[in-house]
Amino acid sequence: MLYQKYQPAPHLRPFVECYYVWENAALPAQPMTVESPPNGYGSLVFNYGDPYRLQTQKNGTKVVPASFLSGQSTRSYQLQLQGQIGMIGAVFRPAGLNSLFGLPMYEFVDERIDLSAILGDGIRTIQERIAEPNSVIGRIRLLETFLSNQMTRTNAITDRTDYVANLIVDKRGIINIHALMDELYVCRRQFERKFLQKVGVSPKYYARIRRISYLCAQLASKHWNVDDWHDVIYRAGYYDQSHFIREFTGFTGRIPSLYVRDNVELANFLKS
Amino acid sequence: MKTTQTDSLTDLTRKGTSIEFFSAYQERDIERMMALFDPAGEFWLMPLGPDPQGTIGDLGRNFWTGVIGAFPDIDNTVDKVTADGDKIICNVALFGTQTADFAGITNKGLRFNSDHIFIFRFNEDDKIEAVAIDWDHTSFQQQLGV
Repeated sequence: MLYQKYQPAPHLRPFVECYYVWENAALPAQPMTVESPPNGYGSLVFNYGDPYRLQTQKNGTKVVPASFLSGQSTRSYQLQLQGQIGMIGAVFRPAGLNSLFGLPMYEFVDERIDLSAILGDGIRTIQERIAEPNSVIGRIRLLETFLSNQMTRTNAITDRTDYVANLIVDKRGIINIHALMDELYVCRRQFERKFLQKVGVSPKYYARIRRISYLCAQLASKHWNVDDWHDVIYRAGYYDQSHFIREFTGFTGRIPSLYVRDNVELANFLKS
Repeated sequence: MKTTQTDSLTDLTRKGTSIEFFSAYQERDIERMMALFDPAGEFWLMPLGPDPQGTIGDLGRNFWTGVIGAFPDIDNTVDKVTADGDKIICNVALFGTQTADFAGITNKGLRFNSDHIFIFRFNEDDKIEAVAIDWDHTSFQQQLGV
């Protein structure tokens, strides 16, 4: 199993968090289910392996389009994989997809939309080229060239919203949004409207996503061994245990102890 | 039969319509708000009863006119907008300062900030044919001094 992350070229780093490639060398005997909590990032994904399914509480189980754009997730989701796994993705900084493509990101919350429906049939050429036999680096170059061309075409730049969204990520969601708005001398209404457009959710809600995301990443990095829940809750910035349980259950659909017990999470496959 | 792709694109349009509603609400522009609805559609304030209480064109218009009159600085923050079948679900924080009696609540000049859930159901023409609104009414009343 290969799940590897790659850093983007410097000129794309304001927009792109990383690329990833996920492949398996041998066909697994059993279908595999991988669960992921909301992570605070949108992505473009190209599948060159066998089709796979996505299970969400809202939509049940659906086959994922061969290439798609996903916006912010506000609930945990499960990938049901079988056969050959082969996918490459660009993971975007919180406002990166909007800055590069100009899309209203609130429309893509909890959605995986076929790229050709958003970007037109031209994207099929990229999809076909990525599907051709190639090395991992070769595929990343194709994806990076596509994004570089997009950046040039749209004269993409970052703005104050990108800065704030990135700050929320850096602070792991533990941040006072009202104080931040005062500090930046921004009009609340305009700022929230722009943030919704560029990130997909409100700043306050995004901070909640990042808090749960960071916490789940921490748990995954410890292989879901929790010695001291109080320490976990305190470090993640929750007021108390009931606040934490309410938030965790709201985002993942399960109480923390059950989630930890059952979870087989994407991060388990990460190679640092 | 519609394809999955058509369903997805329809959801995008409907999410945009929902955002337009909250933008018009921020501007306290009743006519812009009402233009998004089928006036004969159902209007349901969920904490106040188990069924829709009237039509959007009648009760809905009166309700929002009353809200804007009693809370002239009424404003909102859209937390998230998601699709569920033919419905769009909006998690929204509403806030404002009371300046006149409203729905049996005597004006004490207090401010409320309350998480609301708006559920818009759309028809084939992408007009909103039903709206249901849910919130913690006890907390809302307490904040206004009831």
